Amino acid sequence: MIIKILSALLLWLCLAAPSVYASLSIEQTNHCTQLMGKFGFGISPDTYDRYCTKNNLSHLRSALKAYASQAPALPANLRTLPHTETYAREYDKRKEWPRGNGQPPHIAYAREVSFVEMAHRIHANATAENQFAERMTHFWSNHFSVSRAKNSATRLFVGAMEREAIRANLYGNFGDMLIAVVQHPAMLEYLENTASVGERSIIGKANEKRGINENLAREIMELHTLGVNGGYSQADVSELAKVISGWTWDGAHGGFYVDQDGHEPGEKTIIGHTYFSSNPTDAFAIRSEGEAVLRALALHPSTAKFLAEKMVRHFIQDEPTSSMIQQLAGAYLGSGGNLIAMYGALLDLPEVAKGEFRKYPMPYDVLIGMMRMYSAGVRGDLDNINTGIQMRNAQQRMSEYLLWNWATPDGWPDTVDYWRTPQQMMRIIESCNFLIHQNIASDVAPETVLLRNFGAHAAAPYIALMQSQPTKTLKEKRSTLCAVQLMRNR
Amino acid sequence: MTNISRRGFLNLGALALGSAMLPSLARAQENVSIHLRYTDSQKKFIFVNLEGAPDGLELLVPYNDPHLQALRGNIFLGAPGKGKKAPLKLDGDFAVSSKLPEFQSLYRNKQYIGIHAAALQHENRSHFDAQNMLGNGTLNPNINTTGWMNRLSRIIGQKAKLNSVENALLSIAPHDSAPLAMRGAVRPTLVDKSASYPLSDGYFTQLLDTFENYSEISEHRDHTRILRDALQQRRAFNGFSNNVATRTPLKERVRTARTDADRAGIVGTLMSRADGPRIAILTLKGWDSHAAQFVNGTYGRQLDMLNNAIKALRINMGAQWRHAVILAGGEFGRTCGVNGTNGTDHGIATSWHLMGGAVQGGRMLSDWPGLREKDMIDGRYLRPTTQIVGIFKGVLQDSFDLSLQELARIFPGTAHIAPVSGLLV
Repeated sequence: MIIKILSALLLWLCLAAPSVYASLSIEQTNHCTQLMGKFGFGISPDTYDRYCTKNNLSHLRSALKAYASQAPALPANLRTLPHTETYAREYDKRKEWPRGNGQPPHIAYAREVSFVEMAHRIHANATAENQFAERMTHFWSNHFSVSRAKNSATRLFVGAMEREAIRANLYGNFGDMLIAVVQHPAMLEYLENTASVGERSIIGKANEKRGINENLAREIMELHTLGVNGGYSQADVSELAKVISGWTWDGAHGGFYVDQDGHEPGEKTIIGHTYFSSNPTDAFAIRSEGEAVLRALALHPSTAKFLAEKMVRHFIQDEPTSSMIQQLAGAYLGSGGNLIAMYGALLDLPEVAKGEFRKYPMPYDVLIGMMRMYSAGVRGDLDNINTGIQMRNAQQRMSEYLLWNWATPDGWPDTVDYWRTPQQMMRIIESCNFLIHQNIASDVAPETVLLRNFGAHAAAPYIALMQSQPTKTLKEKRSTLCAVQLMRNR
Repeated sequence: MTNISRRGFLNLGALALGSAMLPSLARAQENVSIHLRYTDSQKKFIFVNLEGAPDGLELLVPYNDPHLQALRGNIFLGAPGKGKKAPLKLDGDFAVSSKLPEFQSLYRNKQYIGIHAAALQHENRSHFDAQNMLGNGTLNPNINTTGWMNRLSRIIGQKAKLNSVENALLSIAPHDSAPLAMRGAVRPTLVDKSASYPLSDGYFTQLLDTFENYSEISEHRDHTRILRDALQQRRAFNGFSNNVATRTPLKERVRTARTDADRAGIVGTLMSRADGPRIAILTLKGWDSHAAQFVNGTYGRQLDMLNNAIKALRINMGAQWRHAVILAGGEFGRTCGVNGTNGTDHGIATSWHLMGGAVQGGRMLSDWPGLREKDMIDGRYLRPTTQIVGIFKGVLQDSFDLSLQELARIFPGTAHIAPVSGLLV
């Protein structure tokens, strides 16, 4: 009790008296803290101290430039996770295990892996120092959206795909990222390329019921590269499906491999260019044929425009202007599809310097943002399935949206209309107490959390609200904290 | 309960909220009496959006077409009465999937019309473009901010002089975000888990005032506007739903809803009051069956879900079922032939389904295009013989007594597509 009174006194002293925090204007502080949300998952006490006191905004800008141009090491907790190869082998091995009373062993394994991966991903988002890389990973992961709800294999692999195909190429060429994603078991399973075989392939000729599945080929063009109006036709889709026929995965190969017996031989013409395997019975040649097509798609001007538009939409505003798109697309094409060049152009947009914050946070942003405001990572043993299940439950209370769970391959929509609904706002604010109680488990007073993240000036109105609410319960103060997260744009 | 007038019914909900209300919000409360002021028609319209392009030949099987078996290969269902997976007969030409007994029984009760070979005027076989068109009600796939059900709700609201809270209660969706068809100026009431948390009105009012006055964060004002609506809607909705007779309290059902049938049941219950919402949408996802389209596997459970959702609507609407108009279908169909992975790829025309007590059913609305190679588009896609927008127009016109001008406002740029009328009783 005495401690409570003392801490309340201390708080009021901070508010009333000029303090070290008071040297910045409210506008400057808000600009700084919101910038951490735009290019990361939000402000935290240590980033506040480092960048948002003593007018260090220029310091933050140069830090962002550095974060956007140098690939960081994988966040420490992610380095301990198994590779795709291990997952693939273990999964196939467990198919042979005797089935007990519960789920078949390989299905149970996939479920466990998916929750462990989820806990690690959330922990990395909340705690990694290079927040730009975390936010960018989130962006590309949605660009190449895979749903863990599809089947147990997508559940098993979606986290590994994000690490090994997306994070590994985050500061490289988009073409490499595209190839790594398309060749990842997660994507091959999700868009059903695993059993797609050419009608004139060895398998296709032996069994007339086997054939092509166009799903992955279509979405590569429509969602991953050119965009729906990017200048391709149904014939191009069919041809691309032939190019990647026979691309599949299994445990024995430790993931992706080309089954040459399933590959459609012969020339294929895609947007006016003709491709063929130098040796249609050789897996390496088939793979090279496909990679050449993917590289060409990656460098198509429609792709540059499509990626630029999506990136601006995620970071700047819902309706990108053509000049914004041009800047990013130009940097992309001019550098041969280099992502660092594109990130640089993004940071150089005048809207960034002006400090205009037009992006409304998604429920996931609020979740990670709250963890950061409390300096909290994921609570509990990350490698224990129950930790991930707790994090799933926390998300489920806030929204229908769950990480890696968007049902369709277009990924979650990146516009305010979708997320800012009356019900969704209510739901986030009302579930906040549970989130902090269950997942953050911090007894730090919400007023103190506000002070540590925004400083006395910028936090003052929110703190005054907490102090004056009709019933000043901890629960309501925590809800107010989520409301603060939710109603500050990034 | 039974003697309470409609106006009394809704005001009762408002009174139950207690005395802690602040004056401005209390004012918004007093006028909540949604549907008393218009009496044009009592029909209740539910759009069941089968998202992901359902296979029209699987849901509504043209079993008499001699070319069907060869095209379908491994996923051929056979003729009615021949085996476990055989479809359920409607008439001499068409049958519904064995997983859709509800459809067959509605057909027999003259409450089901099967519509075959319907499509949007749509070119590229992209789910997302076509879903945009299905939701926005225009021929432009790039609009994703406003939808036709929203414009419908606004027109009804204007005619009946509803205020914004009343207008919001006119249309409902059991989702936590408004589907495109309902997005726009008049926000619908979304029935999701947020209804079950208990922070007080007083708490929110004070929170909103603080945020509105924090002028350094310019977007606060914009966001609080939505949250204010949320508060008003919650109040009105709670007042309404507290008085819907249901064995398990509605709030509890909303909180624990797991399946699509649970959500459909909630919609049905809310519409079971004569003065309840009149427009609803239910989105059922997962129809993109590129592989393993077998009635005894995952795909079968997908069909079960549809069957159970329709059944839940019927049971929960109770006596109001006689006014029900349910239109179910997806953005496009699939290839007529099976693909290499026992599934079907993106196609053009598909089957649509009109059901409910207010439907003049027990018949087919079909101009069957045929399945010969030359009948199909590019030798692989079912040729459309009906425009989906024409069905929308006809059904809305007959449900809500709309003029052609009003239909033109709801479906702009589609003047060349005539309403398909005469489908309702």
